[in-house]
Amino acid sequence: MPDVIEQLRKYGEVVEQRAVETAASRDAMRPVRRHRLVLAVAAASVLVVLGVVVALITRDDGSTTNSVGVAPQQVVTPPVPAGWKAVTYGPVQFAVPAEWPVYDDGRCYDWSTYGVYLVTPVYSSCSGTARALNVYAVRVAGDASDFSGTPQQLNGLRALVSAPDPVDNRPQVSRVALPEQEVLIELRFVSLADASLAHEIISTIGAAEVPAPFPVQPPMVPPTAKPGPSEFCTAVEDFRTSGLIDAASGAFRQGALAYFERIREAAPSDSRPPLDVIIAWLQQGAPLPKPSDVSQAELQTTQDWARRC
Amino acid sequence: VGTYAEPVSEPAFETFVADLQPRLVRAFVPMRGVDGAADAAAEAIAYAFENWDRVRRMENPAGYLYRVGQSRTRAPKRPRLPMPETVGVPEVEPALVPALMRLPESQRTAVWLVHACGWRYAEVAEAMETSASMVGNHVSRALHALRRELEVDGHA
Repeated sequence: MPDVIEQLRKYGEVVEQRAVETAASRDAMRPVRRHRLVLAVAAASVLVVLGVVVALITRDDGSTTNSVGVAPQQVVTPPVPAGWKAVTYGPVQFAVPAEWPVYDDGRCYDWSTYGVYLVTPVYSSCSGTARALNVYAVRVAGDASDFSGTPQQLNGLRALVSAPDPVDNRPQVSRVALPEQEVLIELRFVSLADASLAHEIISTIGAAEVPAPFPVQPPMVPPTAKPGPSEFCTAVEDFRTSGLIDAASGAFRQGALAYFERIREAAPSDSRPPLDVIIAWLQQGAPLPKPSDVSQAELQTTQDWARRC
Repeated sequence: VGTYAEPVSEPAFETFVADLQPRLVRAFVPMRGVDGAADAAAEAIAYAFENWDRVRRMENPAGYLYRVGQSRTRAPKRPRLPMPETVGVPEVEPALVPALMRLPESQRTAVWLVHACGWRYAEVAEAMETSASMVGNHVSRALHALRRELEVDGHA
């Protein structure tokens, strides 16, 4: 028999597969039970679809021709409530409050203010804190089976609507897929009050009174390359996993000096000053109580490591 | 106030899920059994989706999401683990599974995550809310106990 470690590894590989198979066979019989997994997988699927679409649109040498060419079977003019305005996206329109900005220039989403985004951000590093309701429209390709949601008729258009039960103060996403129009509209919001607003916006989705070309997707800006594993980060990781930090006190155990010297050797110049303070203290035998400048240096190095690695 | 991560078109989350979900499924097996491991992983991934902006910045998302999956699902009294011979690994000692399940929870988790799942000590430390050195202690004791039990069984 192989050693215990090897046996654990082999057994782990097999039971992982068995766990996945067990869940799959159970879900085939009771699909509702794993709503959460469906949500996560659906989200991942949407991301895949959108990623492909963005790539295709970006490659589309700027053509603005609407290749959909599918007119709604029953044209129903979507409602535009008083004080709202219609936003047209290709063959589709929806309404939002008149004061909301509508962007089609590829800027990053502003999560803190209400707005409409008709073009995917060209930057890969957009992020922010969600507070308001944002609406995104994306051109997608695929048949209905590519999307999840409850089939509905929205002002005469066949739609798949995925709207979670609203929970206050939690990021939520409602999605409306219009397979024939090749459009996906997402509404992201946080507060319970915005859930009803999202619902109202969804009710205004329909065929555009005057279809427009899809906005041109600007080329994506290549992401800033994050430095890969470096000698510095490797040295940091080795120290972190060395077991030389006392769990209770946070103090370094004997042997930490060699690790710190290795880290310093590989560190960028602006990371070295706090390391020098720690190394000097370790070279003195790490006398206690720990001087405040050493504590401060430890905090700086910890933050520096988290930032760089 | 919650947070969103990146533009929905960015494939970062999809890549993240593809990498992490199987790791989490395997990780949850000893505590949730083969019946519940995928559910716990799904809960963790759903949380990651809902909190992607925060999760994507984590130094150690696997360890954190392991805790999420643990807290969001209920542990069965006796997690069901298949015997090695029934899942086609005859080279694994049949006594390994009962010996594993007899270990204290901390030792079982540590040795499983490190040696069956290949997690780094830092990841396991995050998952167990302890230090890497404590993980080392748990692993060492668990291996000692497993070897002792398997040796006894082997000579029985």
